[in-house]
Parts: sequence; structure tokens; C-alpha cells
Amino acid sequence: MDVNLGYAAWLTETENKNSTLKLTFDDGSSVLFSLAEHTTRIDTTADIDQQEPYID
Amino acid sequence: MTEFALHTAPFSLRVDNGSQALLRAVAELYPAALLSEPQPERIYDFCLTVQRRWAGWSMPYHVSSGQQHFRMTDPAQLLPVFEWGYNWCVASYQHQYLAIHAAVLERGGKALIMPAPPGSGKSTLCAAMMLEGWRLLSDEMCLVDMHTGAIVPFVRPVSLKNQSLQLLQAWYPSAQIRQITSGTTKGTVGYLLPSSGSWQAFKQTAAAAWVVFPQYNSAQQTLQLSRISQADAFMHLANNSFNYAVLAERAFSCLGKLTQQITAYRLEYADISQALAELDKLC
Repeated sequence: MDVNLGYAAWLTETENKNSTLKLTFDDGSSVLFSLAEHTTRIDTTADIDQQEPYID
Repeated sequence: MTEFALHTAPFSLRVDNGSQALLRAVAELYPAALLSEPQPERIYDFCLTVQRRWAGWSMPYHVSSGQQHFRMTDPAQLLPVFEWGYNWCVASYQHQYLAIHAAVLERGGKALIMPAPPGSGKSTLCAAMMLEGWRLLSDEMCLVDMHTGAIVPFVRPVSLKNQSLQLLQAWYPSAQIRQITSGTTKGTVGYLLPSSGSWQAFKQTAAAAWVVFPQYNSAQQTLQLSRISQADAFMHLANNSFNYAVLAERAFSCLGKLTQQITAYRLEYADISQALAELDKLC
């Protein structure tokens, strides 16, 4: 049972490492994109949800 | 025969139209070379249908695209509803380009992008800049080529509303504003014709160089132009995009490359002449 839990934890960690894209700009600021959730955020602040803009 | 095709770049539009008045109005806003009869064998990017449908006496015209309803309207408001319908088609259905709700102008091959929500004074500032000699790429839609990162023009008449119409006419008496329609859902709407230079270069791309987030504020004592981080600019651009969520990681990569090559500012102003002078110094 302990072995199974450990394996599950390792899978989660790997998934997290592989599912986030990071862009760092010349001014040192950077943004993250989650491939799993399709959300984008600045990596130094809390999550900012993407919203569709007002259109007409 | 009232059906027509509109060959704006990079998109073409077929209009299955039942209104002679709409055809005349569109002919007043767009160069004759961009209008033609629809060709049966040609594939158009979008198709709008503007036909009479029974929906009460006040709003007999139905504007739709395929099976998708857009709006009912009375004959007097057909032109603004047609223009909004074209915007709706591009914002909803095209994913070839990353599309950002923004005005775009060009000088010396470099593009200035101004994303902003309605009411920020974006179109007024954009119109004034065009009348001061900038080339208009769009007052509504910044299209980014996903492969090259170039900004692709989508030249259309500049939509001005309410007080903006009076201000522009007062500042630039020779400005060619056409088809003023009152009583729309957005108030009084009129269209400023693009400059001849903007029409002549209507397929000429530009490289993104500056992003400015304008905000008109009548209570602003002095103009404020402040630099913002590239990550902040990225997030604001993504939030103003029509299809960032659809394009997902492709949009993230494309917008990242664009953000890397720009400097970004927030502009708060009350006096448009000050804003024009500041942008002239900046760019």
C-alpha cells in the first residue's frame, strides 16, 4: 500500500513539471500557462482567470 | 440585385442582402474596388444574411450567419448592425490569427497596439492619430499572424459614437464622417473613412513595437504615461483577446513572442492633444 501511494505522488509531480509552460521576458517578469487547465497567470502573483472580452 | 461581396483583407465577406439601402450605405464607406457581385464558384471567409423576416413592424430585418442568429433591426439601423455583424463573424469564427480587441496604427513600419474596453476613448484616440498621419490598420481588431508574429491590417471605417463624433468633427472639420445613425443600442454611431494611405496599404503588415493601454478620464489633472511590465502587458493582451482561450498554448507562444518585442505603457489622459503629443514623442 505504501509503495502504491509513493508511485501516485511521483506521477503527480511529473505531471505538474511537464504541464506548465513558462515564458520569461527581457524585463525579468514571467508568465505561466497550464496545459492541463488552459489557464494563464503571472508567476509571482495569485491566479488571474482568463475572461472573454466584451464583443459586439 | 442587392447581394454583394466585400473584399477587405485578410477576409472576404459575402452578404446575402435584401436591402438596397444597405448596399448604398456600404458603397459610401468602402472603396468601389472592394465591392463586387458574389461569384458562385468562390469561397468567402464569412457569409452574412440580411433579409426581411416577420418580427413585428419595428424590426423587420434579420441579420444572421448560417444558422446563427445575430440581431433583428429596423431599416434605419441596418448599416451599424451590418458592421457589428461583420465584427461578430471575425471575433467568433476565425482562428487563423490571434485576434485582440485593440486599435492598431503604424508609422515607419512599426505598429502601436492600443487594447482597451469600450468607453476608454480608444476609437477617438485612434481616429485622431490617423488624422494626424498614422496609418490605420484597424480600430477594433489587432490580428497577429501565428507564424510570423506580424500585425495584419484589417482596414475598415472607424466606428465613432456619441460625443466622439462631435469632438472629432470639431477638431478636424475636414474629417470624412459618414452614415451617422442615431437611436442604436450604442447611441449615435458614425463612421470615419480611413485615410487614403491606409486604404492603399491595406495588405501591408507591420511589426509590433509598442502597446499602450489608454484610459480617458475627464477628472485627470495631468496626463500620466507609466511603463508596465511585459508580464502585465501579456495578461492584459490575453484578456482582451477574442480567441486566446480557443488557441490555448499556440496563443500563449504567439503572444509571448509579441510581448518580447514590445514596450508597454498605461496612458491616462483628459486632453487628447496632450495624449497625441506624448504618443508622438514616445513612438
